[in-house]
Amino acid sequence: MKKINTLCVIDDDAIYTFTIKRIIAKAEVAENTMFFHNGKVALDFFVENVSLTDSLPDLILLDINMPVLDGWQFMDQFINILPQIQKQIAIYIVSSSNDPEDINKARAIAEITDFVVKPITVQTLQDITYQLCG
Amino acid sequence: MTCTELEAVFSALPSPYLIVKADNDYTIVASNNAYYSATGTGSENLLGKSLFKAFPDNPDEQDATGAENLRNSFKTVIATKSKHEMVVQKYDIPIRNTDAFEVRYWLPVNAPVFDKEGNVEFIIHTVQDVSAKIISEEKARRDIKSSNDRYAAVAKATNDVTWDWDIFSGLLLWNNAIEPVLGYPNTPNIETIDWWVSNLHPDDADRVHDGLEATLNSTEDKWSDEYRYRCADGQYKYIFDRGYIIRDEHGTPIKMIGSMLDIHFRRLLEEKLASSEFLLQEAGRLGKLGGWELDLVNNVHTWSKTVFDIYELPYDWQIDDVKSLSFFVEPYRQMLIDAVTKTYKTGEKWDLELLMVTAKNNTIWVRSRGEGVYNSHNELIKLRGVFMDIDQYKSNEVALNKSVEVMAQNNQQLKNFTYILAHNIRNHASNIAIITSLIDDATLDENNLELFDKIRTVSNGLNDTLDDLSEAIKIQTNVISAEDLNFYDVTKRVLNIIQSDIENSNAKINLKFDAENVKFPKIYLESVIMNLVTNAIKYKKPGNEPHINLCSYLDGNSNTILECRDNGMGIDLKLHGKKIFGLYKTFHDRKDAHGVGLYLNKIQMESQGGAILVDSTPEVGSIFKIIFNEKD
Repeated sequence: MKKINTLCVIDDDAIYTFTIKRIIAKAEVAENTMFFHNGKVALDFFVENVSLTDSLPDLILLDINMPVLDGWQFMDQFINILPQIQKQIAIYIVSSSNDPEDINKARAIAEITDFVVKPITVQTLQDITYQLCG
Repeated sequence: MTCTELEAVFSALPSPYLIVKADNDYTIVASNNAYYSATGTGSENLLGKSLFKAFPDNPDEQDATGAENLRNSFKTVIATKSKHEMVVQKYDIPIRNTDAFEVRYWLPVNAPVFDKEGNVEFIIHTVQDVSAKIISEEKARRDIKSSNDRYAAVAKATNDVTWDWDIFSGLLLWNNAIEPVLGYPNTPNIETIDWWVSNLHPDDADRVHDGLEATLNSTEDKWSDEYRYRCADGQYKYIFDRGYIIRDEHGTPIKMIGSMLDIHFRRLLEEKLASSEFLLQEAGRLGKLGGWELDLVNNVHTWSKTVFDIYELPYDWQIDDVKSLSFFVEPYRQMLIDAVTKTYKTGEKWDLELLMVTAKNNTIWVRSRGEGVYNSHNELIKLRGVFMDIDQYKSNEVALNKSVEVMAQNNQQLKNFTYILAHNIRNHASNIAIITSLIDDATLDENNLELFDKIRTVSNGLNDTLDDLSEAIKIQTNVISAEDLNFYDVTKRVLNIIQSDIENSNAKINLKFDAENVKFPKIYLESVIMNLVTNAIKYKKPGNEPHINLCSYLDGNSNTILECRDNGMGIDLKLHGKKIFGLYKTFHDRKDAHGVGLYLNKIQMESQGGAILVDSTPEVGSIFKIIFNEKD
């Protein structure tokens, strides 16, 4: 199976971050990973490296509930800088919420590929990778 | 005295004298100065002339008899040879140098003067001019007659029954108005005071009698009273009676005159008005609604009693703009002042709900409405309006608003709780689940492995519980629209999904949908049918093949009913009846009993205005009845 070049996780939950690192490793789906503990830190990174296509991720697993800049606020601003990015970036919302309101909201945003309810498993991650890389 | 001297005396006599010859012409032979001045003549007009030529009858008066009467008197003097006194004569005299006559009344006396043979040779004629006296008497007579006529006319015009009571004799005289007004013909048998008393209304008689007596015994000269008086037809009429008392020099009443005025119609109107006013006041009092008016021209305030009641002020309180405003609490006082000022300027009406502190220190809500009244020149002359105690309603409204607020708050808290459930708790639960999935069982010893297995079970259970809960919350908070569904289609689809369960249990399922269609959310109906059928299979009697009858029909209220009957183990409703549709209530010792399905079905039905009922006998079976509400 082809691997994702760079996988990016934006989530404030330390335990989740700990476990997702293990799951990514176990699923063997990514060459590189990067982690941000809230939307603001992530956005700053994207703004700084907007033209450095190689250092940008191919897949983002985005949490909704985060301090400073939450998932929705991140999306609002990320969409603004998206035209400057010369790369296809897939965004998955990964949330513990199964609230239909959240799910519908995610579906209404064209730049979001899908909505995954936590816990994310090795299998889920492999399925996503398959969809992206074939 | 000489003849000349006698002539002088005659001329100077103060009363008018005239001497005529007792011939047919009654030629004037002498006349004194008094006669000339009384008649406005002179000797040249009279001496040697016939009396009746000198003083002819006034030709303007056709029936003048003065001359005739005088001639007859002369004849009488000649015939009887004695003095003759005439009655007062109207004998107009000509005004000098004109053709006109002056009205004169005379009291003439004629006396004979005899010749030597004793025959009447001359007649002495003297007159007293009583014109002034007679004219004034005539005028007085005319005045009296016209005032009598006027009085009678007024009495007729006003329908006054006038009366004249001679107190000594007790005689009572009426005018003719007594017949049209009271119906009694004016005959002598009504001419006593006793007759009048006998027709007073029994309830009024004592009062009227006592009042009249007291007035007569006082020094008053006026009396009046209102009473009911029996008419000839037996009906009673309201009468206003007024009398004037004539007293002698000792103050003893001797006569009383007066008039009875028919006020029946007015009195009935007054009574009607009074009772309407009473009703209005009572309504105002009960409804706590008062009226007020400010006459801007005369600066007069008027409040109805209820307004004082609302202010809790005494009725004699001096109404004062500034003071009455001071009862209102800010910011309402300013609101009222602004509204009234606006009415002064633009004529706009006001209608405000205000908070006030009454004179007895009670804080109440009132409603004040007001408007301007304009005269024909479009000048503001009055402000008037109503004032209402709305405390009860307003307090209820305020309390209701508060409880709505509290409910909204609770609802918000519930939503927040739902949110926490959906996000935070699930976050922890999913973290536990993922950590447990990462643990390598191979590296655990037997003891830890056993403990870890338990943790895995707990973690799975926690996630399932959260899933169930959020499913229930979804039903309550989301609005799902109903669609037209066919019971056969939906049921067959559901039975397909659980086909393996049906085959494994050898269940016999019988469908009979008399009401074929229902308007309901599809996923709810699927969920309900799925639950009922799987429950019927799950809770079959051990060793028995489950028999399940699904049917639908319309009940007496035209509601669609879906029924599911089984021959399963049943539920003891005495023990579990209240809990059967509760969350996490299980009644059978089975591992796959969640206690979620019926709870979900119940809230699914209720979210659509429907219901789910159960009847069950242990060891016989259960009947679940689903009532759909398609009306809203």
